[in-house]
Amino acid sequence: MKKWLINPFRYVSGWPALIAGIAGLLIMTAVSFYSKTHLDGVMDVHFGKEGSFVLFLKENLLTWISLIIAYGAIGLMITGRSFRFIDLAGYTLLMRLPLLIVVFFPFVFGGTNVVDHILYLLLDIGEPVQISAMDVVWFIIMIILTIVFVFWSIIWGYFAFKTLFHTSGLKALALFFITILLAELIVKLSIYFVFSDMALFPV
Amino acid sequence: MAQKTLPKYCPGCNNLLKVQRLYCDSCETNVEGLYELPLLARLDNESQKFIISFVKNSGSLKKMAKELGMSYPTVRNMLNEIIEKVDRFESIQNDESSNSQKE
Repeated sequence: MKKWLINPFRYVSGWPALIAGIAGLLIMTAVSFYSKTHLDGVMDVHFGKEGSFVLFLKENLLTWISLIIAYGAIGLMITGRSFRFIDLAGYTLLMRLPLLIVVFFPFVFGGTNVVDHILYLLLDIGEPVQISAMDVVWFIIMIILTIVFVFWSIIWGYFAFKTLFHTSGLKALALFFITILLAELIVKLSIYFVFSDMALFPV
Repeated sequence: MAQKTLPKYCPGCNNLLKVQRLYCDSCETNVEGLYELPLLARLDNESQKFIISFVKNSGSLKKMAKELGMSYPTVRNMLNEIIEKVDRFESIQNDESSNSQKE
């Protein structure tokens, strides 16, 4: 079980990985719609802003497609060997499964009123909200745990990268970070230039 | 009794060992000479087991992945590592034979 939690890509691939990933994406989308958690990027989690179900679905799909493009492009560049598209599609979904826990956080910790408070104070968005000291404490705990789970997702992304393209060491690490940054860039540029209706804040 | 493992490298200088003597268990004939270890015998035991399993599974990595309880890319990576080792051994072998031809 422990090995699975660290590196599931050693044990699962093909259709089972893709089906598990799609199921995860759909559950994540449904829960994030109710918990108002936006996953609009590889390393991005934003709490608090309401949106339609389609918006949350589009955020998850856009991130997935960006990961496929970034992993696929870098993978083709560094390996003379080919890799299966089904593994690429499945692994780029599966690596985001730790975030499935994160979308439940607003139900557990509350905390979105702190976000509303910050949005009102800094960006003059919404209505003024009263918050207590405990709200802030729970919010900080939620943010720390969110960082942990985002980091876990990045670790899974690294193992997915290593398994897909048979790379290791410093070269793998450097190329992986380029891949993640490329995927993040694709998401952000797509939102900025193509899907501006998806922007959480006016662009 | 535990099965003995064929030593491939010299414990003194870590160079690849060669076969100097072969023995028939049945008629006690000894054959002496200087023979190179075959390429597959040079591989470590894990790699040899992998190759045997690969042949038994008719070269299907999918079947092997199922048998080993591992993912397809992991098994493919294991095969790639063996290919790299074989390539290395072959290049060493080629260097050795070209050196002996020069001599």
